[in-house]
Amino acid sequence: MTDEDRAVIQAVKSGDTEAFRFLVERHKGVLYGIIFKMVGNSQVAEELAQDTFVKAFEALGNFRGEAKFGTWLVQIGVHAARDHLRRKKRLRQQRIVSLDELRAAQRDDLEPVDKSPGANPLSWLDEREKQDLLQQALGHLPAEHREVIVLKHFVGWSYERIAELTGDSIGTLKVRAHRARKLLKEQMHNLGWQIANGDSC
Amino acid sequence: MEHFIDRYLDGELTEEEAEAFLVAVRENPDLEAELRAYEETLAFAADTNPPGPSPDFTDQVMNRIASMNRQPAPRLHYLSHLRSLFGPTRAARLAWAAVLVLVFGLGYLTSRLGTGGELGYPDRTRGSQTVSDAGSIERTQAVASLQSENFRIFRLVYAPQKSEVSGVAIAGTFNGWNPELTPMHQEGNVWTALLILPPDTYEYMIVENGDRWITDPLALQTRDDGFGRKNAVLDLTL
Repeated sequence: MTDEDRAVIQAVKSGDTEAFRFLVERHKGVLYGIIFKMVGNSQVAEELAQDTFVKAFEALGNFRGEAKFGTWLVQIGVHAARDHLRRKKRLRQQRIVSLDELRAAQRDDLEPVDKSPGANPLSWLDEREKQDLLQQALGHLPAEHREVIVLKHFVGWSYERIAELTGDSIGTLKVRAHRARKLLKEQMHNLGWQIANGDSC
Repeated sequence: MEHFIDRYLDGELTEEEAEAFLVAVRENPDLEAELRAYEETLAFAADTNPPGPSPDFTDQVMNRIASMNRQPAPRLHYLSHLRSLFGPTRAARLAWAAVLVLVFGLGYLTSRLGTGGELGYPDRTRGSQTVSDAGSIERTQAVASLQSENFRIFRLVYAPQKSEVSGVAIAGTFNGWNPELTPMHQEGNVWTALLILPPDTYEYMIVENGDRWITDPLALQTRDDGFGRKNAVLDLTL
């Protein structure tokens, strides 16, 4: 935990609620990014990231500072994203889609990505197009596959730590990660993305 | 070879295994293309960031927290609650009451000894407080040190010269001169507050017991307030 985080957490614990604003400002970008990659929807990511900060504030009295505050926060956020995905899966199974999700889905309807080939994808994709492409590619992965690839490769967790979260065996997670990487690569290829020097992927 | 690609991507190959694997990759164009496709896909995905939370994200979180704090505590049926806590019989409840009196009594005595009360000795070395031998200056202003891109963090420490102070707060240009918004917190003989503010120059006063406005005597700068007093100036622009 940084000295700044430690000092601010101490202040919040002492009753200075407004000091929590600093922690939100500092960590919101990373937290939102991870949740967004897990749930694939900007509005839902926004709500879950807000919920995460509120839960962290409520639980700050139990935070002993053994881990970094950011790590602890991400853990709460990942749990929130998993809960959301689980609820969503259950709703889908029941063929019920909430009005909020319909609205969010309409808002997040994406423009089709320009699939024309280029020598270097970074040269013909602007940041928004890259976001759209990634969102579409991740969106084609089953939630469990998306989760393992986000936690393993984007957040940097070990399989042991992911196993603690999901309750799956490490072997299962490795198989899932293998499948997830393969699916992501295929989806990116199908959406027109090519590796940097123009080789086919 | 897929097994090795997975272990390589997971960072699980030993140094020797990784070296041998990369030699094999260089000798096999198909394998090389396959590995590069995986690596670049993951790098692309990791480096591509979503647009970010909404501009008022922080305000929304803080509003939710503020509204949470304002909610009244739920009403309790105290008697039934106490009964359920301390036992069903009168004898059990009396025993619990005796234990509580003992615990609080010991706690009170301990706190008196620890804070230099009449049963103990003055604590002259707590934290960053400076205490002269004559005891004339019992406050210090500290420690403006931590910075981030958008904020400056400043810890104000204040030790009242009078003992009958029950509350200390800060009023200044950063909170509309409203001392209720920035209470200081007591830590032994001193009162502290952590100010987290955007880089700027601020004026402030220390407020004792809600109505005694004091110029911070150790402020590096002061400025006339137009009413015959001086405000402390806090320069957080550096």
